Amino acid sequence: MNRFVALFRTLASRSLAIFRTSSAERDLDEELQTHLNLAIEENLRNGMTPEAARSAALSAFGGVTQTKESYRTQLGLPFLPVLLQDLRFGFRQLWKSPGFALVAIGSLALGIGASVAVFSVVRAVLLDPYPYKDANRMVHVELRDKSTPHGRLLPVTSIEFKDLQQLPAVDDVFLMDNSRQALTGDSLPISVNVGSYSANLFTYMGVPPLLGREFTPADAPGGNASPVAVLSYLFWKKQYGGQPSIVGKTIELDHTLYTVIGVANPRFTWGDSEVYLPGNFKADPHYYMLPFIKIKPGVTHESLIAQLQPLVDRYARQDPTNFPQGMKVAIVTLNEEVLGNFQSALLTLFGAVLLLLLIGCANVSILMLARGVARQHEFAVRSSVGAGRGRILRQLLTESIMLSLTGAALGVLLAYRGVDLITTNLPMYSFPHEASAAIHVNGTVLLFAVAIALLTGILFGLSPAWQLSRAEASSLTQSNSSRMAGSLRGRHTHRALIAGQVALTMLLLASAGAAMRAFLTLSKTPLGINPQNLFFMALSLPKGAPLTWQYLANSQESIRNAAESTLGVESASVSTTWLPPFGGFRGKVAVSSNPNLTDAQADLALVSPTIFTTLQVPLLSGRFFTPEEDARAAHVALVNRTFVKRYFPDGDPLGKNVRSPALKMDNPHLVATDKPDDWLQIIGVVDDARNDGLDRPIQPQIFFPDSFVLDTNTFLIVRAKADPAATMRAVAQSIHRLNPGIFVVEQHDIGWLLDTQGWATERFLAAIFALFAVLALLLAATGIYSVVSYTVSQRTREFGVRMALGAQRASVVRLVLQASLLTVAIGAVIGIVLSLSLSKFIATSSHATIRDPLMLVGVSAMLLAVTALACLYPAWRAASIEPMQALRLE
Amino acid sequence: MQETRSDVLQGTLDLMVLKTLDVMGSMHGYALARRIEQISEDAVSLNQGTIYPALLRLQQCGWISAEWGVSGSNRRAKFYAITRSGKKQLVVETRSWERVAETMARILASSRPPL
Repeated sequence: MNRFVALFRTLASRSLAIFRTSSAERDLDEELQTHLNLAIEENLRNGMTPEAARSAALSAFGGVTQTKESYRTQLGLPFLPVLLQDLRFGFRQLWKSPGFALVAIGSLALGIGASVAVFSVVRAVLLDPYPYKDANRMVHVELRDKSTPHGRLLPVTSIEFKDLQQLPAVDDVFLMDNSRQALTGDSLPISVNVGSYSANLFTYMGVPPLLGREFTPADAPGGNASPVAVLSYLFWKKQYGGQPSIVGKTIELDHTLYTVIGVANPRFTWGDSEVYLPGNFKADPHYYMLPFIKIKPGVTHESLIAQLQPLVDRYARQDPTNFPQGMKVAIVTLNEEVLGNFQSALLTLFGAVLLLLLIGCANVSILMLARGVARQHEFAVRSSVGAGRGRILRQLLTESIMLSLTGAALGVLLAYRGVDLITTNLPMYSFPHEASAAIHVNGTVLLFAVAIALLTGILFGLSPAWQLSRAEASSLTQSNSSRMAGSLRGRHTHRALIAGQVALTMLLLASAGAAMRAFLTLSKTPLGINPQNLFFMALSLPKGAPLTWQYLANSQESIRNAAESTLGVESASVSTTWLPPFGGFRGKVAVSSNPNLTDAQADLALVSPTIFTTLQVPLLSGRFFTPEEDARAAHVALVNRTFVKRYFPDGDPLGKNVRSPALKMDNPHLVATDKPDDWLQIIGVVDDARNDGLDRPIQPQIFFPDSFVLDTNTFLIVRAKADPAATMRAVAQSIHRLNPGIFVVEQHDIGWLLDTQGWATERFLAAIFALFAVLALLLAATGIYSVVSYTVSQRTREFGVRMALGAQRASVVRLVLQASLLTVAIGAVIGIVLSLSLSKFIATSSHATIRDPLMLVGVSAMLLAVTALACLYPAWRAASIEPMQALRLE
Repeated sequence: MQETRSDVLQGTLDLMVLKTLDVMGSMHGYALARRIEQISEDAVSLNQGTIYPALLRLQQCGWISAEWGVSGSNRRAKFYAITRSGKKQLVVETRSWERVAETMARILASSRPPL
């Protein structure tokens, strides 16, 4: 017990002593002086002469310096003064070579920052983006057939929903019905994304609310005093400034009052709904909504498919006009649905980032190895004046740790900034939005990356000590070996590291090249239309509008007219089902001249006669239909070039007839003209324009007068003369003047549409890969530059001798370059081989592949050019050495 | 046979200092060193300097205390005295030292057991 107390007291005393070192030493000096004086006195008393007394006293004492040293060691924390000295010295050394320090720190920081940032994003998005309970059992039911390989979600009516609830494979299922409603109240009405769900939504999801409560089956409308609503977190922050007081108040949607009972969790973003309502689902056999199933534990996807397929077939028979026909059921997990291709792209990105980390560490290793070789002379000298190997090792370790820690600290900062940067630039529709709130720097990954970086820095920082132990210290100091090119093993290590670094850089460059090709290909895809200054507007007539064909037709035309007559508008048209470059409404068609065609399909576009002018699609033959024909829903139609190619391979389509049974819709919300599925005469052919997305081929398309099928929504495409944003506002105002009850559901620039849904993913990947490739190239270049510089500086004497013996400068340059460029070339070849063999794994997009010879040649040229430059400068410096100077140099 | 100057084990030096201070009361460093030399009849010739780190160590453990004072010949010197916990430590150390000596004595005196 006493021992422990003693230990503790010792520790405390030694820690405190740090602050009083100088006074303690003064005290000791005085004490020792007294001791010696007393000893001399005694010796004098015993009869010695003063000199003998003094020397006897001293020899009895032993070494004074050694006593002071032992005392000092006993006094404070023993390692501290030594550590401080090492730190000061290390700092001075690094300060003397700022270039080396900066590059080493920078390399580590980049590697750590980039890899941690990307991994954090990947983890949040891929590994566990959903906060929902048992998200791994939640599935999407897709219907697929030959023409829709990507499938569409299964729609069901509220009656059919009950069938799903009773399936043995189904644990729970909820219904979703999206609509956009007007949030009316004190200010201008704004359009809100409203999700009406079956009342079991929140029990299904199992995510507790942020504020208040969520609705339960007890809140189901019908019988309840006031309907309730739950706000999404983002909407609550945006619209109500994040004020908790909104809970309990009422809001008005489409002139119906709802009491806000709660705010959802920040990560609950299902359907991107801004307001969640318990739906009032009428038993309507033609109104379809989306079901979402959670399968029972242990149930396979196959058994669910087996149970669903008979239902789907039955629904198809019961409602042939509204329910998709001839489809097969497929089950996809949540992530597959949302992420699709982006999943593999993210994984590839993660691989790229690991490469960057490796390159960063390799760079630091190269730099430290090179520096170690250059400092061998210094260490040999130090060791010969008595520095123990341990001492030298300790000092090297201190330097390396200082470098590594600084690099790691910077890397951590970069990681946080990087995560923010990536998150703001993620392509909006490519990842589950539930993950947005959860993307943050992951602690364990950070530690892991820091540990790797530290390990690298320390390992290679200690290399000079290893090399020193092999050679004789004396021989090194004597034979000016600081000017020799270093041990052979060291050179091989250098070469291997550089080749490896170049290979990995090549891999990154190739991936970046492929990603950029993909983006460029996609963005340069001919659209068939002119997207400049083009925007679309979705408008909704007020509730209570008469559902007669005449009223709706007149209303639609007057809206279009109001838009077109707005100042700044060049042309405005209705396009009810087709928003280029995407498709809309696909259905069966029949061609009069070819009765054998049984499974012909086409995109059915309901448009104004002016649509082709608005979109600037050229007319190939025939004519457009006239406004008068549109007004009376004349049975005339145009077709696109693909339609002609496929269904009129050798004839002239003009004058022939087509019809589509799909236009006869048995839907109370739609109002059709008489016999919309009757034969129409083809009066014109237009050129192809994208109608099935950017990456799929153009579908055959038929253009009908928009008055054929109408509802209370009008969809406009407008071409502005200039400044689409201002023109959008002007058109909204014109329509407001026409009828203040009409409200704008959605409006966007077509350019915005293309950016976010066309090529957002490809652009994101191209940008980030390009960034990493450039960083890797820089790192590789600095690594090569450093090694060549050090090699040159060591061989200065040798070059001096060569030139003094008559060698030309050019041959000296050639000497230096030969070795380095050979290494680089080997690295590049390895890199290309790696790229080709891994091309399948690296594919980020179906639009471009790494196996593109032109691209590979291009990036190889860039790599060689940069590395050649990096070698050239030190080589040129070597050649400009004056021979006499070199010979004198020590 | 003269004992060569040898490094005295740290622990034994601590014990010697504690015992001396316990018996003699407060002393300064020089007196302490000379006293140990005398009592051991010069069998222990330590480098007198080694006593100072030992004194510091004992101070840090709290077993002795130190105070500046004036020596016999009017010189400023640090005087050391044993503390209460030092006395306790002395008892413990003495007992363990005696145990070791006893065991060694038995082993060295033992002869081959009769068959």
